[in-house]
Amino acid sequence: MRTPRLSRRALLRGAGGVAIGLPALEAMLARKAWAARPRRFIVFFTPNGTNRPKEFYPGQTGANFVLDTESAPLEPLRNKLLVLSGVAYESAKRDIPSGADLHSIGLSHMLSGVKFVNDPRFYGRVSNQSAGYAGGISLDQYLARKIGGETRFPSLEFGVCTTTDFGVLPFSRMISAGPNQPIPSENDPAAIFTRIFSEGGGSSTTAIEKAHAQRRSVLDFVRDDLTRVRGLVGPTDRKKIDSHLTAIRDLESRLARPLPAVSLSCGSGSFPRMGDPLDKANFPGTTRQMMDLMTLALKCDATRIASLQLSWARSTLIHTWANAHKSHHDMSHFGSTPELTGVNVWYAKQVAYFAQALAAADEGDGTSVLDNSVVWWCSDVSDAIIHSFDNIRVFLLGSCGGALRTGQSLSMGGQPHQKLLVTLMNAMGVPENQFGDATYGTGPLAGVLA
Amino acid sequence: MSRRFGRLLLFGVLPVFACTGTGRIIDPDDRMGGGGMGGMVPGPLPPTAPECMNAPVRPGPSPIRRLTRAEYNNTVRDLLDDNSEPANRFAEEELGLGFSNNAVVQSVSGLLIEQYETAAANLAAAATSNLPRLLGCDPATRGEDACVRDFLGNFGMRAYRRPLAPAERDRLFGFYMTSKAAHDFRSGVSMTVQAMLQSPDFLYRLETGTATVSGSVARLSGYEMASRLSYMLWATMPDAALFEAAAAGKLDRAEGVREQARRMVDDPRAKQAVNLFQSQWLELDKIGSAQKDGGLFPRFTPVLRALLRKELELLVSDVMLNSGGARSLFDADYTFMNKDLAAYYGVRGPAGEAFEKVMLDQKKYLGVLTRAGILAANAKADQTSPVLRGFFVRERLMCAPPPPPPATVNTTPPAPDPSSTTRDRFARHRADPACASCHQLMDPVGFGFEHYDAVGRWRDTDGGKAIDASGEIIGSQDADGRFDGAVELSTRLGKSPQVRACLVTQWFRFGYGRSEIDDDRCTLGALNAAFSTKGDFKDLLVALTQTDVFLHRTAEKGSP
Repeated sequence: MRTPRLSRRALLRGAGGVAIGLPALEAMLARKAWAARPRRFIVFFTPNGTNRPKEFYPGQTGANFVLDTESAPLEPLRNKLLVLSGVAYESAKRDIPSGADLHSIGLSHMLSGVKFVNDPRFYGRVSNQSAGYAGGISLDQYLARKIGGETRFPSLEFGVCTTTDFGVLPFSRMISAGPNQPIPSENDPAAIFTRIFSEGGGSSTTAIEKAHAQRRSVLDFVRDDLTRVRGLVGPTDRKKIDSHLTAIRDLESRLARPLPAVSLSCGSGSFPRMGDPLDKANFPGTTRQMMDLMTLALKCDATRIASLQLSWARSTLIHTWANAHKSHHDMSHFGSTPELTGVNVWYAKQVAYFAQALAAADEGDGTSVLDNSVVWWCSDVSDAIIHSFDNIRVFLLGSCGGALRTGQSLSMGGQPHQKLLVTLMNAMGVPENQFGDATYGTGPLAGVLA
Repeated sequence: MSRRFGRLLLFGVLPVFACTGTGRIIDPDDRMGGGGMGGMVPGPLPPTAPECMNAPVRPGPSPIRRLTRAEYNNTVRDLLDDNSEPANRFAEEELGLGFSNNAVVQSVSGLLIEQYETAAANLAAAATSNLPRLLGCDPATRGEDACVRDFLGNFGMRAYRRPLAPAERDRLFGFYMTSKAAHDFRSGVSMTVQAMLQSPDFLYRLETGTATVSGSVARLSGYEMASRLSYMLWATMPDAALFEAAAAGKLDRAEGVREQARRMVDDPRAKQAVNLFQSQWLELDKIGSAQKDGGLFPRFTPVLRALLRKELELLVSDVMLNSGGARSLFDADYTFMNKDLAAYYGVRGPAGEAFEKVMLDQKKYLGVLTRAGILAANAKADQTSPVLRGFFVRERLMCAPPPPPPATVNTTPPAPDPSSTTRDRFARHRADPACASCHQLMDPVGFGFEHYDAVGRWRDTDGGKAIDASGEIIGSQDADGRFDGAVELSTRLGKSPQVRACLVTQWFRFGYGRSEIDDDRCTLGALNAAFSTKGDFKDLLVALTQTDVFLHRTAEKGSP
């Protein structure tokens, strides 16, 4: 079947000098039929928790839940929504006496569920307290190791303005490959577009395979060099060389896999550049582009594990486009105000936009990409004034191929979030019974998995 | 939280450093190097101290160091004559103690590996677009393989920053032959270059050779020393003169190292390293990234921010490389501006785009601390910030940050009240003892900058009232006392040994790529002594090459 491919002309026609966003996604894809519908896992991070801790979660459990103002934008998606209150970053509480910044602690526990690596070297330019990276692998990366081999990219990390006021610090990194091994997100939409789609439609399979063969040959040579160097250095340095080696090996093996046909039909040509993605004035536009790119990457099956980090934990962003004129973090310590609610509603609208885009993506069998995904809307803390780790944000969108019963709000009554991570892992088809620090809990949350 | 407050009240009058936001009491006498988390060790020991006389060689940890983005760009520019700066597209680097070249925080992710690969492919494509030029001979007349064989020896030596062993050269040549056979001549060369640009010998500064001095202390080979010199003083690969010195064995002795260092600090390339140092130490990125209220400050555009940053780059590198000492950073009576920047400051002088030296009105301005870039970077979007500015002075310039705030404190600044001054609005920091014990270290310093608004321009009134820019430093080693305004403050800081020692510590961290430890106290003392004789930065830079830390490395236990 002839697959329609988006030509460079078509892309630029849509851009027309003033870029509006990605052209119609349908034009970029071949219709595809899955033998088995793949499941996707997406982390969607917004900073600084909530200032309406009592109202934030619906007072009702079951299907007739009422959403608060700051999550009301999700109302059109209520049948796809699963709200879980009463989950806590219990393990994060044990790190509080370290004296480190609580936003950093929360962020490091969020996806890893283990004690963080406190380090005075990362102290204080953000808050005059120490900080540290996660003490273990993040769930998305763990899933990527398990199921990521089936796609061109085991996972993709997207971010918008994730660098803090004082440079890249632990507040900037929610994804980790292991203890003290942060993984950066891509903050430039044009760069990530090139990375994902430059080998797309327009190139013949032969040409791509030849390019891959060359790359593998070079990487093979480099790998041998690294192995030799590994034998020349001491134990501490060897760990660095090892993670370098692992990354080379991963890339090599990805290049050795046969190219999934569907990703070849996705995208080509140049990307409509909207403006400096590092300029905070462009934050909303860059966010929109990132969400569009994530949607496209998921629809094209370039990956099944993705994450989007908006700003950074303890963000000081001033959201002028949402009529806010103070730093987010400053406001978050001053109680709930209409100005702050405006900011949080803006974030909720982004989550809604993204989920709607996935919901509109037809899998070809009556289900949508969202139906076969779970999107976890998460944050570094819950009640921002006291940096609480109780009732952490768990808004799940998508039933993950029917693994989760959506359309309801449930109270977990104070469960450690390791069990949430296990729940999500099981929903993604990995049947293991523990994740992170198992002393806090094993097994999934009761009553959540279908 | 209430328990902590109870304990504070029991002690009555609080000793200065007893803020217990985290439950830790900090030794009030531990003022050397900063009692808080920013000062890592108890402080330098002078060369005459018993611990330092005839002390054994203790280089401290010598972790493997990877090229930073800036170093990568400079290196490929010098290696391949390529100005495309591919590393600007690499993932932004994690910082350790404010510096991206801190070895401990350097890590490699899958994304970075792909970015290295893409960069190598693009660099090789550009380089092989003119093969005779790249190879240094004409393959058509000399023969392809003969050309490449020679090229690999020469290029390999420069790419790996040391001569290749014959086996290495053979292996590279074999790779070229295989690649050429599979594809074509140009691809063969390109793939070989790509392999070298992704090799650990290129991306890391490997220090694995040479005999140990004793125990785990090892010397460095001449070539390893050449790289230490070039990356610390120029942020790039060694030049031909350094390679020659290495080959001739001149870098095997401290004296030979010093000779090269003296040449290098006088070379314009020293600006590359100095600019990297100062942009991180003074956090110049904030000039571009700090959000400002566009309604209040419409002139604070991205273009202006870039000019303010450039002013500081020119000023600080001029002070450090042309004119002298720590004092000059703070009491330099000049700066650099172009026409647009002069208009912003409201001064006359430069006529065009080019930056020129401009003398300062010393009633209002003196040294780096009165430059708008620094003042705007350390302010809020719509108001000044005595806390940010005071903290900047204590942490960045004195290496003595206050202890952290209590976990539950409300850190929201008061709303700008058009009818009151900043000083009035921060009254609670003085009135509430839980706040005051730490804020007395910051606010009174920051109030000294009240004549410069949130975007760094001079102002005479605040909230309609005349400005009171009086301030006070307390709890420092040698700079305590009242002052009035930033000019007087700057003069005092310029004379402070603590500030000078802090600068030495910052250069230690940047120059050696690691934090200081107890074993470094004598090294820091020696560096302080070298710096304070004349107070010339170039002396400090050269002195950094004469320490045990620089001239040796520690081979970790378990190393082969």
